[in-house]
Amino acid sequence: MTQPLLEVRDLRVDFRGEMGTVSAVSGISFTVQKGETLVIVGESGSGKSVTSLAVMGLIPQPPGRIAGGEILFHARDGQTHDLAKADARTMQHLRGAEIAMIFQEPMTALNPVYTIGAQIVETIRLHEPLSRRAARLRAIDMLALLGVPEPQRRFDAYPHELSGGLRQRAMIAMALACSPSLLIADEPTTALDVTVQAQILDMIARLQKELSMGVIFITHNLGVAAEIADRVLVMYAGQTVEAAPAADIFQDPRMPYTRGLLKSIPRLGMDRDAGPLPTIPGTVPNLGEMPRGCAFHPRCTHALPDPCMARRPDLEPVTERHVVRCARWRDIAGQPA
Amino acid sequence: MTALLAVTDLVKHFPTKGRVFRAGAPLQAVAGVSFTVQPGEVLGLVGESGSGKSTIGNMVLRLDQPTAGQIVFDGQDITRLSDVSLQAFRRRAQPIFQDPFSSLDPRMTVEQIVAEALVIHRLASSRGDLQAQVVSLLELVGLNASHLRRYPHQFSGGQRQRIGIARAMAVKPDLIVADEAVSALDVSIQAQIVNLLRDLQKRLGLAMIFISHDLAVVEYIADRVAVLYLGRIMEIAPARDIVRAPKHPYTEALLSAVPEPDASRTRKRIVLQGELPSPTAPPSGCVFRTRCPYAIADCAAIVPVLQPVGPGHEAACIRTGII
Repeated sequence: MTQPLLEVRDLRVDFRGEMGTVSAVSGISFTVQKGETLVIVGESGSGKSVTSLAVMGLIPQPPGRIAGGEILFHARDGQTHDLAKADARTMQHLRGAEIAMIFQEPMTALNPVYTIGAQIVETIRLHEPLSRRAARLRAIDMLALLGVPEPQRRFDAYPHELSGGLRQRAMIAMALACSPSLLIADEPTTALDVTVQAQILDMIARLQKELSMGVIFITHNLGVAAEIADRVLVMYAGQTVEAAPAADIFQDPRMPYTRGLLKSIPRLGMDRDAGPLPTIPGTVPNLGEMPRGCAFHPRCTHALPDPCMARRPDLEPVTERHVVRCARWRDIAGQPA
Repeated sequence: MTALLAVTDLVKHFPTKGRVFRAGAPLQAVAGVSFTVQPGEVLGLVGESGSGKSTIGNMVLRLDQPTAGQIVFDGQDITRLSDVSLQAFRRRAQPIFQDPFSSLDPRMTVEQIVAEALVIHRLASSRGDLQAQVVSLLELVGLNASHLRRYPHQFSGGQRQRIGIARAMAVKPDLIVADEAVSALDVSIQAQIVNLLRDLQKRLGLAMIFISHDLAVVEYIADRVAVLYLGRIMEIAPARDIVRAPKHPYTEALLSAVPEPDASRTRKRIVLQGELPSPTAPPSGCVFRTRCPYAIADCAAIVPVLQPVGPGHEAACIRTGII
């Protein structure tokens, strides 16, 4: 295989708080290839957003700290940078130009006192030696590419003058203005209506092909994951609990947590007279109060005192491209979740 | 059967700012909506932001005053209630909100939160009776007496929503208006709360207006569903029929946009073009025509009204045969 665009090895991120130091991400590894979409799925507190912020070098320090591991990014000039240790200058050079990020709430990324055009132009000129005029044309092209109607007029609009969907497009235009090779999208469609979400997902998929970007897409929505993922990584309590090509995750999930999640989602056209929705009992654990052994065992119907409560399970290969963190995955393979 | 709730031609305009010293065109949040809810029935309201679904819920609870129209609850028009009768109405119609973080007073214990309505409506005969009622309400929603003295911040999102549900159930209401009640919850918690709501609704024979943008959740919990667009009902039908045989182009597009957790899916996706029109200047004729893949010239001229297209199934489209 060619060298991956991004390779994260055993990343650990700690946060210091009132309860002492907690690990938000405790040893996660993954790769993203050029042109590939990796979807990271998890609930609140799973560490999915912290992982993406670490890649962007945006962990607030303090209270946060990258406590270990490597984030190897293969830049266009052929150099490999370890983003876990990169200095501010290197990060500034890479952010925007080679690695871009889009967020759930576009207003966190857009400045309310500048027009969206001015902000896109600023991003372009920060990284590329273009004239104001050329940058303006590029920005209008980007807005048009993202399906913003009347891009010339919208170039001069302030963020508050746009609808949620248009603001999201403007933010994506800004993120993609320098054709980054890696795009990190943290719940970019979660606050949007389903019809707008469908438009944005289509657009991200199209642009990814055109620009052959690697994409890390973070979501709690398994439906969205199924729409766009090449591979899916499921996080729980700061760790990878299962990772596989999308088809394997949805058709042959092995981790009881993944199975439980997939079963508990109401789907269109399901028979509600068949009884209550299957649920995962209990709640997501607090980072400060991690259970011993497998972090999922208090909520798992397959958990046994030994090994589940005794030891933290390792990630084990199910197939060459499918890994699962469950000590009992072989025993429960044929059983219902 | 007489309807518990009958809403007729409900309209809500919000004033907007225009030029200096002048009002702008009013924002038509709800533009003539009629529906009924039978005792023990769950009506789902679905639609995207700006569809007016939450405004309708707020008006049904009298948290907001309609611009025009009638809301008749158990024979009484609640838009004209005096303060005294309003309090009696509030005992019978209760809200459950989306955000269990902001809808519970952080300085009150769980016991105080759940007991408050019982005290206001004088529904407990003694201090002992009050606490017994609170405990049985907590047990009803899957909590217990050990939670009485705790504060909202000591609970997870799912547990807080249980507290919100216990508070709503305290006064033994006839109608619940649940506005995005499970939308803010983690995926693994959402199913627990959906099951709880459905179980309570069935067991206690509650009528409910279940407002959500999530069609799959609405289909699961509602008996009938009304699909809203720009403050108007586009289609209303039994939940199953809305999902399996939609008759309005907007419903069809909305359903096709729902992402489903199945990588092998090959359903056709209708991606709507353009943006939601401004509710201060809705399009002439059918308000959906500017984004409708089936629109013809007549759609700009004729305002479609809800017409029967099947048993209990109505759609507001002059081209219903097209789907």
